[in-house]
Amino acid sequence: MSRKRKQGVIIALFLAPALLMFVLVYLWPLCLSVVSSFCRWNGFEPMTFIGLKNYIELFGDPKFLAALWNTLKWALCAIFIHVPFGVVVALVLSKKMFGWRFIRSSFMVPNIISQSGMAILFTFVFKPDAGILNSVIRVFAGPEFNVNWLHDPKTAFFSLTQIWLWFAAVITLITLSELLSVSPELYEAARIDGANVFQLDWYISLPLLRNIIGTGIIIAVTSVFKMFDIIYMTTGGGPGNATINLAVMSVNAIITQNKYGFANAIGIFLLLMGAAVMGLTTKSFRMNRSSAD
Amino acid sequence: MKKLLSLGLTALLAVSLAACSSNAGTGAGESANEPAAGEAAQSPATAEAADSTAAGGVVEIPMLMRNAGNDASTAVQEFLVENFNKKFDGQYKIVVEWLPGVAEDIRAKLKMLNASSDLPAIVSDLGAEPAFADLLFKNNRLVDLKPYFDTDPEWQRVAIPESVTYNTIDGKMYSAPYASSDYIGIFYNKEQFQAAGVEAFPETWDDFWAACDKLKAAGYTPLSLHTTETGWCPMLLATSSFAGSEEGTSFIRAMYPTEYNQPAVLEMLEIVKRLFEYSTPDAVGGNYALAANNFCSEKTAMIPNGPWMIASLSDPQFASDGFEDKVGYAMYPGGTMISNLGESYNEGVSVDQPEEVQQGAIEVLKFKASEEYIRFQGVQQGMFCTAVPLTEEDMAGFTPVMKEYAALVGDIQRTIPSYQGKWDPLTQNEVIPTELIPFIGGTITAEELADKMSEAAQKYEADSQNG
Repeated sequence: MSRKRKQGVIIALFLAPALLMFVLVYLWPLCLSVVSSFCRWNGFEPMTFIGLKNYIELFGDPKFLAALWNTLKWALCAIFIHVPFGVVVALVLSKKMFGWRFIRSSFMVPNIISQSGMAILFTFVFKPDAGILNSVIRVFAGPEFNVNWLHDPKTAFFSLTQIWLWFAAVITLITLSELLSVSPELYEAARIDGANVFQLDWYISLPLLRNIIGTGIIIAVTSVFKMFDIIYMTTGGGPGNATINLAVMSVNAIITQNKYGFANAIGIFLLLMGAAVMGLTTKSFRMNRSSAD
Repeated sequence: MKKLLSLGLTALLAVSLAACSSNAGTGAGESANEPAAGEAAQSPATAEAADSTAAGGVVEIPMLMRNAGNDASTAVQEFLVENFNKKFDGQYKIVVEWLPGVAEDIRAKLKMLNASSDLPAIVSDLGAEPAFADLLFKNNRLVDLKPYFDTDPEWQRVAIPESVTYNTIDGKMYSAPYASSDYIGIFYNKEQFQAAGVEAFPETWDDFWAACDKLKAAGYTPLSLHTTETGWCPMLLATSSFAGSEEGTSFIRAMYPTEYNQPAVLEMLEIVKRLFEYSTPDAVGGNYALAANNFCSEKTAMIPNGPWMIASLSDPQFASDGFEDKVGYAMYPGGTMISNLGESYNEGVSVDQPEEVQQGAIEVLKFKASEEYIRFQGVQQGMFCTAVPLTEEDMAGFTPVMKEYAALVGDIQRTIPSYQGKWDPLTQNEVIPTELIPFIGGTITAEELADKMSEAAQKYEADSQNG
């Protein structure tokens, strides 16, 4: 056996368990989801093929439109607030000011806490009677001030968004690692040409971060698409449809109605949305080209 | 060297994967030995057929139980496990997976397990979501208990006849009949009532609202309520108003109603809205546990709930010392209490388990129809059985509130069934928790909410008919 062939066998041997796990744990359920999304399936009886009925029902459901609209609003928040905020923090930290390592680690802490843990934490922040937020506002606005942040139709969406919007540590970390790998000579040369800090970031750092910002957008938007724990443990999608999204709608379809086929149709729609975001982001940020292109 | 390293790493990977799977298997048996309150999800409730017989030939019966926290069900379930395992020592052994949370959480888990044909031996909590039970029956997912019931005179003696009829469908009995019933009313804080100048619990709705106003004026928050989990507490109190009219009574007795926009329901919804004017700010969006804690910590003067809550009134984990002495139990205005009187699904035996486990599970159901279990349940949970009257000795174990409750049961003027056993799950689990909030806030009207409930009910009916 030639050396190359031997190497190939060893590589295949190492990859085989991972591939097997991927097929069994991910690909097989995915195929099942695709197939069942075209079927009526209540978890009791065998699946019955019904063509596009689940999708037709989905697009005709007013709850779906509300969930889609909320999901899109959250995606926009992720693109225009969450990711830029994470990048700005990374840019500031990259200046390596006093205590930057401590700030980097502290910024990461909320990401260590589980989503459900964050949800419970913020339930106490937003509680109407003894919540931290109302207690602070009452100091200025008087003891009568009382807003049920998570359950008032006017404030529920905004409040729920705050639970994840500012915790962009993953974006910060990947951006920071990219920034730290940029050759210092580039900045040095620009400084000699008289560039200030803002110009260094704007004309050198940001163009070089194009790929990583694109990756950040994909991570952030797909996270928003599949966001479940935070919603389920705070508002449950209410009041009305104010905070429902497709993931919650999908789980409700199973738990409340035993409609597994319908739930999987939602799942497939989410998958397609995620793929579309990846495609669009890759194209917009020219991610398949190197930074030098 | 590199070759050796590669082979070593591959072997290590294979061993670790194998180790993972074997751990999962033994974990069930190990953790199941010591089920204890406060521990969550220690052991899988479902066992593989091959694992059903533990060492020494003991058949393990996997059960899913709710570790409810502030009610007596945990104590009753622990009594069952301990005494059943003692009685059938060497033959059967109940193996419990304790789940924290409410009955809704158990049902959600059961649905997931059902989809993978992995239901535990006993499928419980069927009564509060009859639509799920109907699907289980229709698809033969439960064992027909009729032959076992018909050949067991003791079981027949204690079973409520109406419950036997209700649970017998087309000659089959997929759900065990109830032997005892409880009656749901309202807890109130006598001390706060007295301080507000309300001498006795109001008997009419007008007096009830007047009492709420008096409590509010005296600086007390009258009611503990919540909107999640089908809005249990406010819906109990509000639906009791159905008993006041013929139309309301026939509505609440109907199974899976599909038209909610009718006078009795609109009147009930207006009561719900008004009730929230007398509750805590966190009631909107809050859950049952929060409402119960508000009452037990004396933040509120009343909470509509069943007698199973009595145990928590003297539990230092939930209430301060001496709190129980301040609490009274009453019927709803109009002399109404809520009870299904056995006309509800109960629990069944899953066909997913091997034959010997099914037999063991049937023994568990029979044990639940035994005098010792019925007596203990009566004292702890206030579930009374006509065929097994409690003795003086049993009643000596009653707490003061349980005594008051037992006296009330003898004076009940009228009962109506619980809405949870009658309405479809879509209306209960999706419409009520999410739409009650805009309704209370005045964003939608009672008619609009009723229409949403009708739409959901009709959608559920259509989906059910389509399979």
